[in-house]
Amino acid sequence: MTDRALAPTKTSRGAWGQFALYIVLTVGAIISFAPFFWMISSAFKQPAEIRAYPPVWISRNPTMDNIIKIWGELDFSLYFRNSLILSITPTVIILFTSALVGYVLAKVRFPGSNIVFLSVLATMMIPYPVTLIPRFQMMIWFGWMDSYRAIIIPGFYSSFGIFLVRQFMDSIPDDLLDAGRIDGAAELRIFLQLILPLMKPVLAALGIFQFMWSWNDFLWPLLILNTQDKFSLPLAIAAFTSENIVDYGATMAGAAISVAPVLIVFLFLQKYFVSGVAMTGIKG
Amino acid sequence: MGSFASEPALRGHGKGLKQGTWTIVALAIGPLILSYGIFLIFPMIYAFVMSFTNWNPVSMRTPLRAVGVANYSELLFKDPLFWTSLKNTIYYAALRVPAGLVISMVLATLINSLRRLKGFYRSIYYLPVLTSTVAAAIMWNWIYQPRFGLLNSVLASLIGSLGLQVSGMPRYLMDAKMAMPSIAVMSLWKGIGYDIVIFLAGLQGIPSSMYDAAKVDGATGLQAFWHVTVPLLRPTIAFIAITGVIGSLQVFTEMYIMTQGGPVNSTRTIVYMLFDQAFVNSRFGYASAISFVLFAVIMAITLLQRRVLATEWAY
Repeated sequence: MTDRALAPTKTSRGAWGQFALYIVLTVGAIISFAPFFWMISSAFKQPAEIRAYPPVWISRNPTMDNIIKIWGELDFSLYFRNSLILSITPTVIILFTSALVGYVLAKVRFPGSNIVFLSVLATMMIPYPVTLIPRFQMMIWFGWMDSYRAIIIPGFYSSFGIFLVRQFMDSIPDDLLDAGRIDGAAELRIFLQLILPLMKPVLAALGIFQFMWSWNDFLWPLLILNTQDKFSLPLAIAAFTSENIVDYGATMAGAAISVAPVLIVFLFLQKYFVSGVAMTGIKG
Repeated sequence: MGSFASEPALRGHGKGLKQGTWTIVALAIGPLILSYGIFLIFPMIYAFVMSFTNWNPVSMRTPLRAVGVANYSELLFKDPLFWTSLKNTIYYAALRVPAGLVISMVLATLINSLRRLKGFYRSIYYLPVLTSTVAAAIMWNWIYQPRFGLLNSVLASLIGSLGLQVSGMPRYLMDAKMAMPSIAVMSLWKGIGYDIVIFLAGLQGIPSSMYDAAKVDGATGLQAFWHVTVPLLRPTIAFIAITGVIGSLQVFTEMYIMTQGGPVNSTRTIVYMLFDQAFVNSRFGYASAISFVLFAVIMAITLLQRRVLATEWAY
């Protein structure tokens, strides 16, 4: 693969054109990155520097005070643990259920499979506010208020995940599965030993998405959880911020800490992430 | 396509389904139907029925009774806040969706014609997508702070270095006229990275021979963009426009954290109103009516969009 094949413009103006492209994109990237940079750098600033004019971009005398303060006042390790539980549990469950249902809908023929798939697609059209209120009422009936059950159990299945896996399975040739069947392997064993390993790319993408959504989820946990000890990170930070609205150093530190895990996951699994986003765009 | 690629693997395996096949189908589909039945279908039907009652989960003194279409008629004809919220919500979508579409399509096209560092730029623009709304709101509250926020500080030093004088700086979230556009800008910042990646995937599907043909015809870069890239990206554009509108019409958390619906209700959206009626006033019946009106609005706009996006560019 040559550079020329990739670039639509390759005349003598090409070099200048490329240069101009980099300039435009870099300016955009700086604008896009500035708020991030500001958040992270503010987390390490002295109080005076935070309100300084002209703005201080990098602290001359970085401090850990903001982080120590918010960690001390918020018992961050607790909220961190809560957020991990509330993100990893649904992610693992949804990965398994999406893989199973997506595989069955793509590769196992049974009466009504098309209806099931279309119904799953149709549920993606239901706006969340429509089920928000009755679900809340149901959580009261079930006695699940202020409990993680209310957050985890209603979300065992993800229509988006099922859709993603099914689309992916379409690209895997049937011969591969038939080979397993001729060997006389049971369907469930074929699924666990043959199919699951094949699904690695789509499951990685789905896993990252789901982790990100669960980690950042706000409204439903806000409605369900009342005990502060059970709060997830976004809830704790929102509560802290509304009480310490002027302490920008500490709130910025909190925001930075809450973003960090998703950033780390992204950096490590970047290529899956990108292919995952691309998969969502395949079919409108 | 689809039907051929998804031709079932079990074809030709004798009569009917084998025992093992039934097991896996039952394991996969049974719990799915149960789960969606309990947590999606039942709640939706229940809420629709209850939107015709005075449903209130807190008050024991007011017994549940049917009120006919009273909730809907109150909402549509007697509650001025509904029309304000609807107007605000549509205003937000109108600010957010077209701007996001244009910016992300242009940036994706630019990134796609880079020779090196494509991945780097894609990642930089993607970073804000990873931020939670809560963290983004905290960041941008500070950026928009009128007195010493980042934006006005940068503006002031720019203006100062030009030797100009200004009387008053913009007040962003504290100004009823600017609050909604300010939130839309934050949302653009947070959202375009995702659209860029989708557009990049769409651009991969355009064969470079199309551009070569355009060049033979003497097209400039801009003409090629307009006559080759844009028409061929039509499915992607439709996808992003439709999902963008659906998402924008349900916007809530940004306003809840950044402005609490103010100043003077200028950022109160439909879902915000629903939230207030349900979880502040405990009027579940009324709030359910709001949710179904929103559902209808979303359906109507989506259908309209599909029609427009399908016909406008049909050759």
